[in-house]
Parts: sequence; C-alpha cells; structure tokens
Amino acid sequence: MGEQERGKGRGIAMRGERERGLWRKVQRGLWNFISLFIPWEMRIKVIESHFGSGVASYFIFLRWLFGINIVLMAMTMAFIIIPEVLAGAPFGSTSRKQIPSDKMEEAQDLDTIWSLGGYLQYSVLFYGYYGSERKLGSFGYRLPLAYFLVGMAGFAYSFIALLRKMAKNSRLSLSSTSEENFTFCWKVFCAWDYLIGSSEAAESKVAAIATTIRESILEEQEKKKSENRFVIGVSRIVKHNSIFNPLNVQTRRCAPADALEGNGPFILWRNHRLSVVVSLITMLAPSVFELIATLEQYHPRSMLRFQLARVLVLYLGNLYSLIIALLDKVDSMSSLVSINEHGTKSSILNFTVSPLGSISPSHGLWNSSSPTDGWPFAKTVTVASTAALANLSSWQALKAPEEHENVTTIFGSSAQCWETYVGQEMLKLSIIDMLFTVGSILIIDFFRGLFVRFASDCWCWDLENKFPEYGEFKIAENVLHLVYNQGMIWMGAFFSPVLPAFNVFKLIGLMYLRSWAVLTCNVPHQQVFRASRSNNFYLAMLLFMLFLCMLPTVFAIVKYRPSRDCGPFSGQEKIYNIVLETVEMEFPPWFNTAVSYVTTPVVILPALLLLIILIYYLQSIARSLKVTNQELRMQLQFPRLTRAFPRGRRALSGALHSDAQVCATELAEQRLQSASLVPRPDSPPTLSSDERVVPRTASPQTGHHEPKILTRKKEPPKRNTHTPDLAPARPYIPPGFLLRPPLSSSGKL
Amino acid sequence: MGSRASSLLREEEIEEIKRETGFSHSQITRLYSRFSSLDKGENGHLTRDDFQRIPELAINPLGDRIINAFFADGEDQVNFRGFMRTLAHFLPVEEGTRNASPREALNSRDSKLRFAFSLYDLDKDDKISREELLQVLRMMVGVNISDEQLGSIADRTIQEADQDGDHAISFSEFQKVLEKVDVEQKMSIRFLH
Repeated sequence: MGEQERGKGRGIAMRGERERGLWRKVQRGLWNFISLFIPWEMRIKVIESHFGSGVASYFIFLRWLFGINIVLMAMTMAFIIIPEVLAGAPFGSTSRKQIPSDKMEEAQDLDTIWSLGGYLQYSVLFYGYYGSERKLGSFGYRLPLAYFLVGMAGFAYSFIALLRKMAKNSRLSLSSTSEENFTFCWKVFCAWDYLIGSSEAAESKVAAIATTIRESILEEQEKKKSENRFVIGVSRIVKHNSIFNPLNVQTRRCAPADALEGNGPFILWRNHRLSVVVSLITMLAPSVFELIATLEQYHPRSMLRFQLARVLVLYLGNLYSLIIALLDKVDSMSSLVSINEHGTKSSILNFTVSPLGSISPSHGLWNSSSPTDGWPFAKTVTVASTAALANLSSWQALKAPEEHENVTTIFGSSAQCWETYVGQEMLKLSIIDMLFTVGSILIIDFFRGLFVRFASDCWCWDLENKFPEYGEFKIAENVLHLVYNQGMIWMGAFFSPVLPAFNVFKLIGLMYLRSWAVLTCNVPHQQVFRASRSNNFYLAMLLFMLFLCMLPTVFAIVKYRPSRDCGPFSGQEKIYNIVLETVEMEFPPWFNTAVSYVTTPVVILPALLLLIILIYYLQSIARSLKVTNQELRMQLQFPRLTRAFPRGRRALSGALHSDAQVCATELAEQRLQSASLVPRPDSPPTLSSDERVVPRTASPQTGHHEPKILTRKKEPPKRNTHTPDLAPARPYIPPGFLLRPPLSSSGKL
Repeated sequence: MGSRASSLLREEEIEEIKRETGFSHSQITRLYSRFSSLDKGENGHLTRDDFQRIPELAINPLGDRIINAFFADGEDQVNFRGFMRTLAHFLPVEEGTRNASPREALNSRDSKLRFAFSLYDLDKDDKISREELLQVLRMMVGVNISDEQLGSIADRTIQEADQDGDHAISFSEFQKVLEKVDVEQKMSIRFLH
C-alpha cells in the first residue's frame, strides 16, 4: 500500500518534472535559435579566447554601434528618403533638383564626383534636394515636418539607447554577488565545459582558460604592487602639464588664421601650416602619453582609460576646430545671401569644390614617414585637419576677393545651399576616413607583419624582437576612432540623410577587416587584463561625443536662416518654424493657446526646478540603496567570518539583534581587522566583485572556417627571469600565430 | 545485435542494477544498448580505447581522467555493472534509490563530489597534492603558460583551500571549496526514460 502510494506520487512528480523539463527545453531551444541571429558571435568568441576580453570589448562595442546605426538608417530611410523618392518631384523637374547648366559639362568629371558634386549633389543624398511642399502625394505626407522630426528623433533615440545600455551595465556590475574567496580553486576545478564537442571550440576553450589564468595573475600582481608615492606624484604633475601645453598650442594656432599674405611659391606651405602643426602634435602626443603612462604605474585598466581620455581630448580639439571653421563659413554664406539679392551667377561653387577636391593630393604630404605608434592617428587626424584647413582656405578665398574685384563671389539664385555643403563635408570626411582606415590597417598591420616575418632572415637585426616587431591591437585608439566616427555621423545626419546608411556598410566592412587583421597579424598583449564587466567608460565617452555633436546641429537649427532655394525648410525664418507652423494650422485653436501658455517662462522655469529636485531625490535614493546593498553583502559573509574568527562570534551574534547599521559597521571593522591581522601567511586578498571571471563557453557551431594564420617561424628566445612568483610570462604560443617574444616585464600595454 | 543484447541482460540483473543505482528499467535497457554499441569487441567489456572513440571525451583535456574513473583499480576492462555504477553518480538527486538512505546513495551530493575528487586525486591517497594539481593544470592549458607560473597557481590554489596546513587538499576541504557551487545541478544528467 505504502509502496503503491509512493509509486503514484512518484509518477505525478515525474510528470511535473517532465513538464518543467519540457518548458526548459523549449526555452533553451528558443534561445539557441535567437542567438543564431546575433551577428559575428562566433568571430568575437574566437577573438576573445585568444586575445582576452579587452580586445573583444572593442568588437562588442562595434557591434552595438552597428545596431544603433541600423535603427537610424531605418528611420531615415522609411520616413524621409523613400517618401521623397516615391512621391516627391522627380529629378530635373524643379530648379533646385537639377544641375545648373553651367555645371553640366563637368558634372561627370571624376573631380566633381569625388567631391560629391554634380549628380550626387542633386540627389536624395543631401538636404538640398528635398522639396518644401507641405504635403506630398495623395496621402498628404508632410515631408518637411517629417524631416525635422526624424532628425530630432534620431538624437533622442541615440540618447535613450545609450543611457539604457549604461544603466543595464551598471546594474550588472552592482548585482554581481559577493566576493569569493576561492577564485583560483574554482578556476582550476571548474573551468572546463564538458559539453564541447567540436575540436575548434575545444581549442578556443583552452586558449580562454589560459587567458583567464593570466588575467588573474595580473590582478594579483597589481594588488601586491607597492607604490612609490613620490615618483607617481611627480609623474602625474608632469603628465597633466604636458597635456595642457600641446592643447594650448593647438588652440592658439587653430584660431582663424590671419589672412593669407599674398601668393607665392610657399603658398602651399602656408596653407597647410596649420594642419602640419596639428598633425605633428597628434602624432607625437600619444607616444608621449604612453611614456608618461609607464611611469605612473597604474593598473593597466586605468592606464588604458587615461590614455583614452587624453587622446579623446586631442580629438575633440581637432573636431571643434573643424566645427568652428564650418560654422564660420556657414555664417558668412548665409549672411552673404541676405546681403546680396542679385541674381548674378557666382563662382562660389568652384571655390568650394576645388579646395575640397584637392584634399586627395594634399594627403600625399602626410602619408610619408611617420613614427611607429602614431600611424593610426595620423590618417584620421589629417583628414579632419585638412578638411578644416580646406574650409579655412576657402573662407580665406572668400575674403580675398574683396580685394580682387574681378572675381565676385556673390550667391546666385540656384547657387548655394549651406546645408548641402555641410552634408557634403561630413560625407566626404566619412568616406576619406574609411579609405584611410583600410589603408592603415593594411599598411601598419598586414604589410608590417609580412615584412617582419619574411625579411627578418636577411636583416641586420632581429626584426621580431626589436624595432618593428609585430603589432599589438591598440584598444584605446581604435575605440576612440569608433567614437569619433559615430560623432561625425551624428553631426551630419541632419544634413545628409543617407549618412547612417553609409555608416552601416562602413561598420560591416570595418568589422570583417579588423577581425581578420587581428587574428592574422596581431599578437596578444603582453599583459592581459580583464576589461571591467561594465563597459561604461566607452559608453560615457560616446555619450559625451553625442552631446557635443548634437550641439552644432541644434545651434544651426536655431540660429541660421535656411537657404532660400533648397531644402524642405526653404522660405522660413528658422528651421524649427515648421513645427510651430504645423501646430498653428493643423491643431484646434484651444491647443494653440495651451501650447502658447506652456512655452512661457512661467511654466518652464518651475518645470526645470522640479526636474532638478527630482534628480537630486533619485540620486540620494540610489546612494542609500547602494549602502544597503553593501550591508546585506556583509551579512551574507557572516558564516565565513564567524567560523574564521571565533572570538568575534559573540559580538557578532549580539550585533545581529541590534540595528543593522551597527551590525554592518562592526562587520566592516572585523573585516578590516582580519585583513590586517593576516591570520594565515599570505592570506589571499579577495578580488573585487566585478573582476570575477566567468569564462563564457564557446558555442559549438559547425561550418566555422578557420582563420587564415601565418605559421610561427622560430622558437621564442629563452627568457631568463628572476621576476617574482606571479610574473607574466611571454611564451604564449597560439596555434600558428606570428609570435613576438617577451619584452621586459614592464612592457607596454 | 538486438537479440544478443536482450539475451545478455537478464531480468534479475536489471533488478540488481535498479536496486543498486536507482535507474529505471527503461533507462537501463537504453544504456545497455549504448554500452553494446561502444563495445566493439563484443565481449561484454569496455576498454579504454572504446571510450576514446567518443569525440567529446577525446577532445577533453581531462578526458583520460574521466575514462580512468570508470575502471576500478588495476583493471583494464569494465563490465556493464561497473559502467552503470559510474554513471549512477550523474543521476539527478531527486531520482535515486529508494532503499539506500539519501546520504549514501550513489547520486548524493557527497558521492558526486567524491567522484570529482577522484578525478584529481591520481594516487588515491585521499589528498590532492601540488604535483597532482600541476598535472591537471598542465593538461588544461597546455604549453601556453610557463611551469613556474603553473606552480604558483597550484600553490595559490592549495593555499586558498587548505585549512589544516598540510599543503594538500583533503576531501573535506574540497567539499568546502565547492560548497557554494551548485553541484547537484551541474553534475546531473537527465537520462531519458
């Protein structure tokens, strides 16, 4: 009887178990299916296992940016470009949509196409093409309103996505569990994933285990490092000074230059003097920064962050010089429009096209010799600087004709659209940046690798150990390049709606090219450190960039008068008038009065005040929650503490019954005491929570082709080391990589 | 093959295995067919080579250790009983023998941990010494990390876990290391019924 009942009970329990198992299976199957659609997952996992999570974080960041750009592209395509193509007036019908007759002969020249003139200028690529009829087609689609709203929505979406991601990341890092004491034991005993079935995945897993072990070694080393305070203090002072000085120099020189002193044989040098200085600074400064960084002896993760921050400041200086030049030009253009109402033809187009068209020859100047480390920089910086320079010089050319009356630069009726001009600039910048990136990857990584690999036989010194060596993947510069690139897109998206689409393809190409280059030509860093789980630093930089790049657009919308003859807002006083106009005409009158009340300072100022109060309140709540979190974590550590420190048990158990706060502080004191007493010799310091490494298992997928890798040539030279216990060793021998033998233990990042 | 299989496995054997390990009837027959398919020599025993033919075990760095765990001391062959006894370690904790007490059943947490412990304890002296850890590490990470570093890691591991100061990890210390790890879930296979 008992047996029977038990048997029945067991049957029912089994059924429930089976149902739950079924549901779990369905969930897992669904998740497996969805993860097939995550692009480049296998690629990134392979890179992560061989190079560590620092390098992989770059690719993950790139993939996330790709997602953002896809959404932006979808928005602009769906709401602006396609309606214009489908329902707007076709090419050639109105004056603004056709190439002016004097430009017709050269509309198909390579020069024109390269500088995005001709057919490209009068197409949906740029702002100037869009018609300003309030309603299009049979549906009455409001294109100008849509144009404005999509522009703003693009920024809003970027902000929201960015902030959500940052919040999710910080939640992840806060919610990770308490500190463990058995990290090494877990790594040794629990590291292998027994579900792996394919040999490639097994190789990746072995590499991943090796990498995580090396990362942990580094973490331990960092903890044991003693600081020489004096040296560090001095070096930090030096570092701060050395940043500000070049920036001063740069900004001084970037101020709009004096008028050109006549013509002459050295005009080229004078024209480019500015950008020579800028490029020199930006080439040399990162090396100087790195040098200083080695003096500082921060944790490598902090070193990376400082490097990033410094280089970001440099890039921003560059970017803002470009923006200032652009805005000056725009200012002059739109003010000239208001001054001159004659219909005389202008040759301003010539001025704009040719200096910009001469960007390519001028680049030849900068492609020459440059020191090793600055290479990835030089090209992106020179692009920006020569563009800035070109603007300056064309602005100069604008001023110069005031002295030479035969060349009048007066705007004509069909002549100029400053918005299209800005859009052209941005798109051109993006294209040239892409070309230079591809070039630099090939030259700096690939050819260098080939050269070192094959020529080191017949070379005077050992190429693999000394000078050129094999490249390491520079995380800081590359992330910054991504941020800069995205900033360009945000700046130009309002004036050239096709820019996000172009960026999507650019990012795809970049992903494939870089992942190939990393696996083929780079060697892992000498010191791998674990990228902090919350990658908020990159996102914070991106947020900063987004904010800065939104400002010029907003400024242009608010301050400048839209061109009279082109674009969806032609004829209005200000661009945002489209919204006011729509509100006035389409909405019922009571709505209008309501809106006019709301926009008075009487309502806006209190609302602002309320927002500030709300922010303060939420901040204080967050702070107190963090404290509570900490206390709870202490309490979880309770059992371990009581067992380790029996003499404190009574005090601790007594504290349990009293206030939680007191308990927490007592526990904190106990912990401090325990840390200093060191009951055991070399009691293991616990790693902080966000360094806990959980190596992700490589998902075994079939059909993954092996990366093309050049085979290793010679044995790594024997390394005689007297470094302490957990020194990082170099003989990392991944299957067939170009190998770079060990440098000194304080090698570069 | 099918008739041979069923003839070699008699009812009373199935009952015995059921009692000892806690598998159900259908599970035992299913596992027996798997056993026979692995047994290329068709003599009712599995050798080490038979196990090596399983791809997941072949690429596993600790594969040799796992295979060793199937074989009793000094033996070169394992019969079906031994096979089932080892597999019984991986039964989920809820399904177990009804006769044995929960503590001593083959799939209790204790037995699972003991199985894992035996993977690392080569000489079966009930302690994991530094050399054994070194061997395990060497197997896992290959030649990517130098010997001294591996030695330091082994030292560090022992330091973390060792409580009685004998510079080796005993079973109880091993248990303590893994007390936060969900061993019951991780070391369980849901055998098909």
